[in-house]
Amino acid sequence: MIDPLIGRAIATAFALLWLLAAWHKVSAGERFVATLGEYRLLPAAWTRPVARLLPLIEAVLGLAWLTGLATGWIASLTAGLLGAYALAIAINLGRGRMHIGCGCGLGAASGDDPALSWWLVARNVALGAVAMAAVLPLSQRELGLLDWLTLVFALLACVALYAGASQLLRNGAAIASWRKSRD
Amino acid sequence: MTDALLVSNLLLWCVVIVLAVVVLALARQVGVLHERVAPAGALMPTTGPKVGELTQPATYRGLDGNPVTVGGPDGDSRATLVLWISPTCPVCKALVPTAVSMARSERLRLVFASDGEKLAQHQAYVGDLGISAYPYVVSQALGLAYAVSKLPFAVLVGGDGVLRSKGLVNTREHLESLVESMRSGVLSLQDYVGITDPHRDASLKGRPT
Repeated sequence: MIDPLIGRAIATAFALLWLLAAWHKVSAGERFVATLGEYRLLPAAWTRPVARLLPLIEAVLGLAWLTGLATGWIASLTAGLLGAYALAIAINLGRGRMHIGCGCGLGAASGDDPALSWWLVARNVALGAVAMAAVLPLSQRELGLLDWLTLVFALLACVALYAGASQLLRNGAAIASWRKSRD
Repeated sequence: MTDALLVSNLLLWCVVIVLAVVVLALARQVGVLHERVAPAGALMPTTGPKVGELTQPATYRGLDGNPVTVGGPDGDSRATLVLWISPTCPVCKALVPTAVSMARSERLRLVFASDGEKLAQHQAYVGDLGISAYPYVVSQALGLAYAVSKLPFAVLVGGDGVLRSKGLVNTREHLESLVESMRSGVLSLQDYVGITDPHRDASLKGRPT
């Protein structure tokens, strides 16, 4: 049993995550097509259609989280998609192709995506686990004004921490490439 | 009691958000600092031949085993464009077709250069890019000779063996500017502004270009 506020926070956070991710992929446009091609997982002819399809799936998932319906399915699909991304990253890390961008930024496409690293795999797995927590049954409780305030504050904190973590990943990749070029 | 908890909770939320924003700002600053500091040590090579100097001919072994000579006067008096690329550099890949088409239209001798131990990786890369017709040199010495620090880097050696231009080439325009610089004899855009506007020249004197 989890508190309805926690369920609501998870749903809103994932709605935000998917919508921003979809927006990023659409606004990066051609760059995302190139990034997906760099993953070298799909036949070349599929790259473009899949690059168009992924943001659509993400946007639908984002809106679905907002409706609050069929949470079990949506949470499973979210965890599945995050897992698939993690697998794609892990395969390319295994191939030693750690210089390619992850194509996993949020919001308007400015600056570079972080380069691939095991941290990204860990991030996706952790996010998937949080999504699955939304499947747990909710206890019954009326949400008051204070709960909505808490929800807003929690989301703000999550957004800032997520952005901070992404920036640290980018710094980490830059420092790693710097070290490599000095060796 | 409840009121006190309520106030403390709201206050704590505010502190958490402020802290999260501070952490984000710190991380951004570290990122910006890194961008500013890193090139200062790497981008501007003080060593290596200068533009206008006569280069020394040196022979390296190409990936296909044939000897490749870089520098010095060319037998056919054709200019040589050396482009340093690497399998681990995504920008380089985008520049290769540009370099090939430019070499064709400008009648340049095109040489690709790289370094690293895994020869098989370079062979696969050459096959990938379809540049097996051009000499491809895997040599740290060649990179050191021209003080290459960041990729993609290009140097243009005139048919007479004089180094005509060099630089970090991130875009098609950068690459074209190397040839333009050789043709017009103007070293850089800054020089060009100086030639056309003598007043600017005076004010620019002593400044690094």
